[in-house]
Amino acid sequence: MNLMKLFNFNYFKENIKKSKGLVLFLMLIVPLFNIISLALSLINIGSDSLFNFSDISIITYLAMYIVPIALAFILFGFVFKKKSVDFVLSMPLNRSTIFFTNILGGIILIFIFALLNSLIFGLFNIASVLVIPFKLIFDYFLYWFVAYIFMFLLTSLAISIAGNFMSSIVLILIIICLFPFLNISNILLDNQNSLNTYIKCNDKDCIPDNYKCFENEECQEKLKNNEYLISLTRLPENNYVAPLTFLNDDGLRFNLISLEKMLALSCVYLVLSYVIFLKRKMENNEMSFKYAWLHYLVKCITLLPVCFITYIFIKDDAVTGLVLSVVGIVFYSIIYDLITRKEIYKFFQSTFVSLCAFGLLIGFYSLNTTLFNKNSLDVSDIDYFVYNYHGHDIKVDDKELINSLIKGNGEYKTYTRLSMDMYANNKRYEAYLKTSFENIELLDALSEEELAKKMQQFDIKHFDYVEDIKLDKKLKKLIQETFNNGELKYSEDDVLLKAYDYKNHEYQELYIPSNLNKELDNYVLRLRSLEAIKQIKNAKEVHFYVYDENLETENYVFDYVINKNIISFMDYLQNENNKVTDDTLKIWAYARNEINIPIGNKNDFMEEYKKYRSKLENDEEFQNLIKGV
Amino acid sequence: MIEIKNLSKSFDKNKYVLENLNCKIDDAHIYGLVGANGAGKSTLLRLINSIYQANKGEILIDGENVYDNIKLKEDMVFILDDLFFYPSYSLMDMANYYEALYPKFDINYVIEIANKLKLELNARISSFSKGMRRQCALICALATNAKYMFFDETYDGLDPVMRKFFKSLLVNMMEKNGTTIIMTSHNLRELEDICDNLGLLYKGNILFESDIDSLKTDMYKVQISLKEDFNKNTFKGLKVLSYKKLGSIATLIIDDTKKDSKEYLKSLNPIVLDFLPLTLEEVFIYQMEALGYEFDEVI
Repeated sequence: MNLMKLFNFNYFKENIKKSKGLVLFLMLIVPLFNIISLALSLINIGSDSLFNFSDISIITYLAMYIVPIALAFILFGFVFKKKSVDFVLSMPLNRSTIFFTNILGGIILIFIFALLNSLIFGLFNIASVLVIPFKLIFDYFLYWFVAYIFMFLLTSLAISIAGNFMSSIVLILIIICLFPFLNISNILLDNQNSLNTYIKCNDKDCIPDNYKCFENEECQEKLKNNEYLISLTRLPENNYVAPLTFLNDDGLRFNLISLEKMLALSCVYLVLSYVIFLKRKMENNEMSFKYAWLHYLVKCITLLPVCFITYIFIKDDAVTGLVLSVVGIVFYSIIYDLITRKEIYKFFQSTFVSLCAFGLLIGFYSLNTTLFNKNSLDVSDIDYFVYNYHGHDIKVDDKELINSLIKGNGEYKTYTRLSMDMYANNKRYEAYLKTSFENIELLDALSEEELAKKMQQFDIKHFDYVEDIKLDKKLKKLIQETFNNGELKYSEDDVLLKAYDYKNHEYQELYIPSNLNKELDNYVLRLRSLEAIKQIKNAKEVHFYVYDENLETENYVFDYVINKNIISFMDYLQNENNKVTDDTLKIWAYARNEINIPIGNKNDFMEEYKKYRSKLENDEEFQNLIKGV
Repeated sequence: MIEIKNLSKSFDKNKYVLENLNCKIDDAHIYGLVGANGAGKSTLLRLINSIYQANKGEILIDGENVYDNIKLKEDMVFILDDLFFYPSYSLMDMANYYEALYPKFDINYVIEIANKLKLELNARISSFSKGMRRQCALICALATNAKYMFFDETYDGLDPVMRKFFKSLLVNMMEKNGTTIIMTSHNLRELEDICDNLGLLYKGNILFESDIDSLKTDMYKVQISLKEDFNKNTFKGLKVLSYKKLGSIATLIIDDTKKDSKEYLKSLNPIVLDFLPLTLEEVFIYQMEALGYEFDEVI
């Protein structure tokens, strides 16, 4: 099949022309909002001008529920009206041409839409201080291009099946939610017990020391079987298709699995909607579905989430829950018919079918809970833990250490709590472990070892930014030398600089202690000072604050002094003597946003500050201020 | 030539709108399709134009199956009874739409006819009267220069002057391009002075079809009175489709295919003998009666 032969450009052009205002609105509304959002970011620029996938995607994500759906309705909506069906099909076009012209046309429009947004981000990246790496923009383009096509094809499928607008909306919701909902319900049901999960351990290396059940009967029962209570929360999968991203607990981010799912489903939806569109009886419009059984089937599927809610009621109180559920289902059945068919369709038959579906679904949920809601794991099921060490995620898959972490969940006089992600049987959990300080030391040692390995492989060429500073050749060389020579050690007092690059669809991050290399530290300080000066100059009014007991000054006094000596202060910041010492100081300035001003030598700055103050000895306003008048 | 073979279409199980319909329509003719409301006229046209899919049978144009055949559809245009225009479109926009899809579309023709009819080319069609909208649709259809034109309730909303005007345009089109025009109506009078063939659709099938000239010349009405007493048997040598006697005068409808009935009637030495022409409607009514259908039931 030659697709280009099936694409009738003239038809596409005319089809768009008939709704040009709406199409233009849909194409431009997101770019417009993106421009406004980026412009606002420029005005309110803070210490971090780095944009991540979520930052640039939020408007596009919200518009995903409107733009591709509306596009599909513009292109395929004619099937809902008898007059327009007659008109379009009487033209020298066949069904395949109409279908593929609309599909390819929609994809072209989505391509332009995604490209336009990407260009806007690219333009802001080049022409402003905002940092939006091109690789990130490409990911944005790829992900949302596919996501919008996915929504567009999904809507086209719903339109091909349904006979009227309302039914197609119901179908869209069903198609989006059906499979993921089965998944979610499982997790929600799981979660009712999963806060206290038992881990089975027969080995003395993992049996918790001093394990006590107190008066918990279940715990005592489980103990007989060597199962120990651990605080675990099952986390949902994060690989939902784009319209269900809100279910991801790690928010909006580029997700390759989600992308693959959407591509695969898009192909399925495309084939299905093509076959259904060809077979569609065009005379059946303005009613929900051609066949009563299809109407019932769709209605029963929509009962899935309804029954899930009723099931929770029934679980709590069987009799009341059941009565309430039956009333609710009958009521829902009527409302559904009124919305989709604009009539109460065969009341008794319809209600009977709904109640049968209700019975089946409740049975399914009960079975699901009984069979799959295991609240016990074996220690061997644990694949690994993820330990966060100074911002670095360290994978802990050492069996001995895992055993030791489990072993730590007994009763101690002194212990600490450690929150880590845990992966077991390919499922993700949030583990809130009791652990000994020895274990923390072990974890830290392991992390340092891992980081040391990472450092050896570290190549600054892969990193483009430190904090929000784009690395130039000099800085890159400096950091590379530092890493080649030095040994990475972290201590609590370190000022950590975040080196990062957008690679493999996410920011690769490495936290570099700034004191690792004085030259690096000074270089970063200098760049930050220059950025602060730029922002101070651009601001109409700035207030300065400092939090340091040794400075022995009230903040309002400090603010007055600096403001009165603002030129000298900015000169001081630019002065080459402003270098990092062991004793540093941070000053905050508040203009439209917070500006972080690093001071490398606190003692030197205090001398400078005294000079500023002495200049104000004859300043009446200042004198009144310190007297508190 | 349009050839319809064993065509059946049902919207509900076991309830056929068209059932085993067979029909042939020659090229360069104007074919009128008549029938009561719900007889299946519009459904038939929708099937020919691939809007609906037939349950059974096939429709061939020039020997090719018409369903979803773009090449054939480029030479077919269909104006529906219930007109459709995009909401904000003007006649010019609609003409551009047709021009984009019909290779032989003549935009100058649209401008010329619109100017003649004083139709504003760039005014929104939605602001036009029902008759003006019909004019717009007909102009666009004619400008396609399609070989096959289908009109459902062609003149609905047009005033007598406009009807006459468009009739002349249709006839010109047929004469100039050899266009085959198929038009439907539930009103025979609308079709009789333009169509050269007529088909009567009844309960999903073509009950009767003929060319109009022979229909009109082969049948006539006669009022007759004889000196002697007479009854229907007096005329048993003739093909009498209808016989009614009121007092001494009888009214007969005679099928005169053999062309010898007039001589026979004269040979009876009647006191009164008047030959009256039949309207097309009367021809159909009497033909139906002759086929055993009650007129009231049919039209």
